[in-house]
Order: sequence, then structure tokens, then C-alpha cells
Amino acid sequence: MGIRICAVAQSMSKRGRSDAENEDRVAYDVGSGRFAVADGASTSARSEVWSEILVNAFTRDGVDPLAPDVLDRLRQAWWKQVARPGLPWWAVEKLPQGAAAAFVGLTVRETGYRVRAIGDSCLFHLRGEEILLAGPLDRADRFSRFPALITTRPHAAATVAIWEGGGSYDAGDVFVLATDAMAKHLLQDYQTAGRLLPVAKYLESPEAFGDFVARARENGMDNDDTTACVVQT
Amino acid sequence: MYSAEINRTQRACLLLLIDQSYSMSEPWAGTGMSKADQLALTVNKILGNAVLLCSKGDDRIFDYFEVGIIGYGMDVGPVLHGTDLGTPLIPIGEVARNPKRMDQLTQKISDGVGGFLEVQTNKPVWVDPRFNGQTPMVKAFGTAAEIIDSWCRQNPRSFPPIVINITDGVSSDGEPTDVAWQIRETATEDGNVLLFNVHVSGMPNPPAVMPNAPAGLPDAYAKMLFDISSELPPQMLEATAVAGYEVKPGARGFVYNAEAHMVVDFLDIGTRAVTPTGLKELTDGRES
Repeated sequence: MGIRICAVAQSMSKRGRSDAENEDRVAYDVGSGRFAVADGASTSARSEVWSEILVNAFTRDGVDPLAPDVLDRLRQAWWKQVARPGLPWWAVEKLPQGAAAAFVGLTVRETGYRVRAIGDSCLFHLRGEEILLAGPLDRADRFSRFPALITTRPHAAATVAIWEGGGSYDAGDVFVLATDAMAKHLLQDYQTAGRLLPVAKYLESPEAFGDFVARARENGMDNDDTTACVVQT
Repeated sequence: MYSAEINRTQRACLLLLIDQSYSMSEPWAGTGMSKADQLALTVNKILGNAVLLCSKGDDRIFDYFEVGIIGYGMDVGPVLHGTDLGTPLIPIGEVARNPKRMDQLTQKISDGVGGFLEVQTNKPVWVDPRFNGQTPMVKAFGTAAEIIDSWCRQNPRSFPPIVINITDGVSSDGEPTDVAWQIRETATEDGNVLLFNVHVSGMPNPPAVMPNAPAGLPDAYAKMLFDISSELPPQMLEATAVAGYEVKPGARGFVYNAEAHMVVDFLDIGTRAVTPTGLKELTDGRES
């Protein structure tokens, strides 16, 4: 008998930016139990394309984008998508600097779950109001301006900075994947209130998520592209 | 303070003051070039980098900030291509789209898959080397004061302007302290204007890099430049430390007897500070 999972995800661009400028990406495939979130670095080149490649590789193609052989192939795919004739001088100079993104990928099986991540996009494993696992960052004060990221630059190693977690779970447990602004906000609130905000409720519709994000930003959440995916077992 | 969001509707401002007096024709130690040549090269490089910070690698440029350059020597006035006395500051997108000329260079670039391609690239030029006349720093500061006063009135909620003065000599038209303070007292709601000073190399004295006290500076002129320089706000202090400089709390935006690479670093931090995430360091997995 297969596991019963449902998932929902929402994403919102930085205040003052259009939806088209959102550099976060989220994707999931409930059937294969694979869920992923990536956060493209604003200062890098075409990071929204890189984020999309990473999450699709993980969920749609079922591969680990952090594995060196897969990563090489994805880097080539990025270059093929973004390089084209006739680009202005600044694009010609910017593209070789490459794209960069934080990434977190979750695989849920009947036997347990596994997560691999780089940077400050995080996973939370929840049971009721308790966080059983949080990572790669588990405290709000561990977020910094210097996150490790997975880049398109050839030969840049990913393995040193990969964070891995996993284990068993009970039916009814919840997993939350979130990009940095949201993850930090959730941890801050958890440290204060001793419980995680009811994220699933905020993800019921784009409007509900928009209201939540607007309120959270008023209460100090960083104004950044904001993305979350909730997986209910 | 110094925390206003920088975006396309709430731009920042960067104003460079560059010494173009006759003494800038002298060699800049360690560069094999004159100070004027090296400074023009540096400014063009920094402007190019600033454009890249506002680019996503496609046709778009995000106008995160406005930039202007005031040269001072025989004349005092805007020297950035595309600017004039009536429009001394222009958005970075206009800088990108309207260089004075494009110089062709052969450059090795990544092919995206681990190799390199030798390609002809076009390098934009906005400022040419110039050296003539004396060092009218007071007049240059006065011109800057008018520009940033007007800008602050028009952009009251923005991150305050950053003004970086680069000189190799002593002011020839009087003591610039009063007008420097006039600049520093100009403010937006987010803080006072940041005035930084860079004295370029030419003497055998060791450089003083972003000191937090005037002790050890070689003369009264150096101490004056220290006194009129603003303290680095926390995020710039952190970026300066990341760039490899030993800085202490209270460090001033001031480099005395600077080597060429220090000017590059200093201008780089200044330009990155006026883009939304420009001071964020990206790592590629080698750090955690």
C-alpha cells in the first residue's frame, strides 16, 4: 500500500517586483515523493533559470542535482538556455560569472525521508507543534549574508557544503520547505512562541499567502522572494 | 540608519570626485602607469562592474542607483559621459547604454563547460584620463554639495548618497573642511551623506587604510582628510573586512597613500553598497 501524501506550495516575489522577477522556484511530484525549492541569488546571472533547472531535475527527472555528474550536465543546460547571439555587452560579461542558488530537495518514501540541501533554503520536519529536524540552518541567527550556494561555474565543488538529513516519520507529520526569508521568519517565531506558525493554512491560496507575507514583512520578515512548500503525510 | 531599501523606485546615489590636476600625470607607484591613466582605468572598470551588478545577464538593467563624476583640475565639472552641469547624475541603465566608446579587447572567457574561449570583447569607456591645472578641491566639494543637496531633497527616503573623493594632492583653493562638513550634514531620512576620501600613492610612507583614529597619520593634511571622512556604516565595515582589510569599529572611509588595488577595492565596496544585494557575498560550496 502506497503512502498518502498531499502537498501545496506558494511563492511571492519581493515587494516592489513583478511576479516575472521572482527568482525562487518550487516544484513537486507527489507520485514520486519528491519536493524541491530553490532560491536564485539576485546578484548572479539568470538565477531564475538556474533555480528552475535545479528543482525540475530533482522532481521531474528524479536525479540529484548536487551529484557532480548531474551538476555538470545541468550547468551545460543553463548555459544553453541563457547564451544567445545579440546580447548587449553587459549580458555578455555577466553570464560567464554564472548563476547561483540555494537548494533544498526532499524525498519521502514509505520507509522514511531524506533531504539534501545547500545554503539557506531550509527543511523543517514537524510533529504537531514541535520541530523534529530543521536544516541546513536551525536557528534564526545562523542566517547570514554569506550563504553557500550551488553555482553554474564549472568545477565549483558542491560536496563540501551539502547538508544532509533524514530518518523516519509518522503518518500526520508535516514537512515544510522554505526559502531563506520565510525559513528565518519561521525560526524566529518558533524561538519566541515555542511553536511553528501554521504554514499550511497560509498556503491554501495565493491570496492567503499574499496576506501572510505582507503581514510578516510588516513584522520584520526580510523583503525577499518568499516561497514555501508544505508536505502533509 | 543606512538601512533604506534600494530599489528602482527608491534609488541610491554615488558621486565620485576625481582629481585631474597636473600632478596626476606622475607615475602611480607599482602600476607602470600615470595616476591619471590608472584612475581612468579604475573608474571605467568600476562603472562596468556596477552595470553588471544591476544586470541579470539579459537585456535588462535595473536602475538601482544614479551616478555622477566630478573632475577637478583646470576645470571643475561633470566628466562622466552623458552628464553635464544640468544633469550631473544619470541612472546606471543610461550609463550602460551610453558609453563614450567601446574599446575592443581580446579576452579569455569561460565557455560554460570548463574550457575557455578567446573572444573579442567590447569594453565600455566613460571617462578618459585628464591632467591639467591645480587642485581646486574646495570648488569640487562645493559642486558636490549642491548636487547632493538637490538629490536628497528629491529623494528624502533613499539611502543617503555616497561621495568618494580621490586625490593625490593638497587643495589649491583653500581648506575644504567647512564644505566637507556641509556635505556630511546633508541627509536623507535614512542618514547623513557618506563622504569618503582616498589619497593616492606617491610618497614612501606606508598606507593608512580605513583607520578609526588619526594617530600615526604623517601630517596635518592627512589628519584633515581623516577628520572630514565619514565612519563606515556596519554593512560596509563588514564588506571591507571580507575584502581582507583589518578594520575596527569606528573605521573611517579614508585611505591615505593608497595603492592602486586599494582604490579598486574601495570603489568596488562603494558601488556595491548602492545596489540592493551588492554587499552579499556569494560562495560556491567551498564555504559553509
